[in-house]
Amino acid sequence: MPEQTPKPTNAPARRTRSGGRAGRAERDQGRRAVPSIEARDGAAGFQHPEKPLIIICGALGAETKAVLAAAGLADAFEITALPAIWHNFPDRIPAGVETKAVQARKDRADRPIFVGYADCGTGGMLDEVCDRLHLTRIAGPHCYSFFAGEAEFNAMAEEELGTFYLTDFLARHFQTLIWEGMGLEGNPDMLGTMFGGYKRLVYLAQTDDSALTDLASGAAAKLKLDFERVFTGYGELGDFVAAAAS
Amino acid sequence: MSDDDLDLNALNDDELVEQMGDDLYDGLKEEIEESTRILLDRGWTPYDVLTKSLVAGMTVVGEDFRDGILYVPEVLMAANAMKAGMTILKPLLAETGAPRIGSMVIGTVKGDIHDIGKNLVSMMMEGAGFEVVDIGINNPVENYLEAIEEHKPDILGMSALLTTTMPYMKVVIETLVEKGMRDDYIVLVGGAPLNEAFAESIGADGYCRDAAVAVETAKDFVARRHNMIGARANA
Repeated sequence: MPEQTPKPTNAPARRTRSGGRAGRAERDQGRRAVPSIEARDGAAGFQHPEKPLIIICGALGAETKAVLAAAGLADAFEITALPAIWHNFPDRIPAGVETKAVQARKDRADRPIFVGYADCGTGGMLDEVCDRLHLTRIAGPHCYSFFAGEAEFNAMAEEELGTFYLTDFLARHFQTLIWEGMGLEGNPDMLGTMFGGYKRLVYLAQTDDSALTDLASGAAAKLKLDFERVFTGYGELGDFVAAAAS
Repeated sequence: MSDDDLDLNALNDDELVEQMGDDLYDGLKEEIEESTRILLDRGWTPYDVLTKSLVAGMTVVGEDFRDGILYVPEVLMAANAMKAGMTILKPLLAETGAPRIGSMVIGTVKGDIHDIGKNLVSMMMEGAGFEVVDIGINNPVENYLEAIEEHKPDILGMSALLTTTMPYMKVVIETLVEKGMRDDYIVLVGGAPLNEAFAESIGADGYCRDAAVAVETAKDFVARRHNMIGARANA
């Protein structure tokens, strides 16, 4: 039997009919419904109303815990997280933070609450919630900036405007949050359209972990971007936690 | 016979339009080109092909994107398929004197290289009958001024994805005010971190949450503007 000539791997596959909207609805039927914040936290309530609360982005969980542990504050706060996938849907963050804060103050109206987010693409809407409910958030526009430090981040952006950033968390979860989360998994031929403006990927490393560096470098290759690694440590996250504890 | 062996010529008009909706949704460029040609061969006017099949199909895509059912690349594939149909229709629309709704200059602001949303708005606006001049990404105020002076659009559209770049929209609007040009244009803004309050605070005429809203908002403003001009002319 003659050997089949393999298809060139870089040629986009011909798309096929999949039934339009009706086909999509049928395929989506088996998807797991994500429980609401109220369903996840509301029934049990918060466990330690006597402690101040930190509402963190799910992408900052390990980092916040590491900073607290290093400062000897591992048990000083209760911590609750919002979904890391909201990195892709920043408009959901303000309402999510508000829901958590209101729930957390049901048992103790004067409970101090800190918000482990920067503005994070909410365009001032998170500040509106923080001002109204007297919550304190991390200063700055986003986690890249507070990990790298504002001046250092601005210098990187100035050096190459087309820079895509990863943190430890984003490097670890690149496949789920970025590649699949932005819909590139089924549509890799759209990469150029979606990432065409980017030239390089900078991995802002919070820890020295060669496995994460490999993942970040692999992400850069997948996105067809130049790769650079910049060690930042926890940056201004440490200052935020120290201020919260004071 | 599988769906992919479907003979589009064998479908009646209603079935074909319905199939075009599905093919747009699935981002099938060649199929949309073929269906567009079939409808034209059957005597449909280019304007009817545009509005009753392509725009109607993209409205469904826009709704499912808004509801979080479709991902960005899928919407881009659908928009690319629509654009393929548009490429066939565009010269015919010009020849047949189909109604031209208005015109727009659009670009992403200085310091920002993100253009997915802007590209979607451009394609959807073209699909809705607007003439669109896309000036690309990372635009300083001078680029906007040059483009609006050259093309004299009804609408100036600005896009930004970053909290750090969206304030630049205010710089552009303030420059228009300083030059006494602000009232010559409808200024619409959009982008993930923006909201209604921000648009109002910088003096924009409207905030567009997504591409489908941008089309509706643009139509609404242009109609109001034409009514005002008509009223002045009749006064």
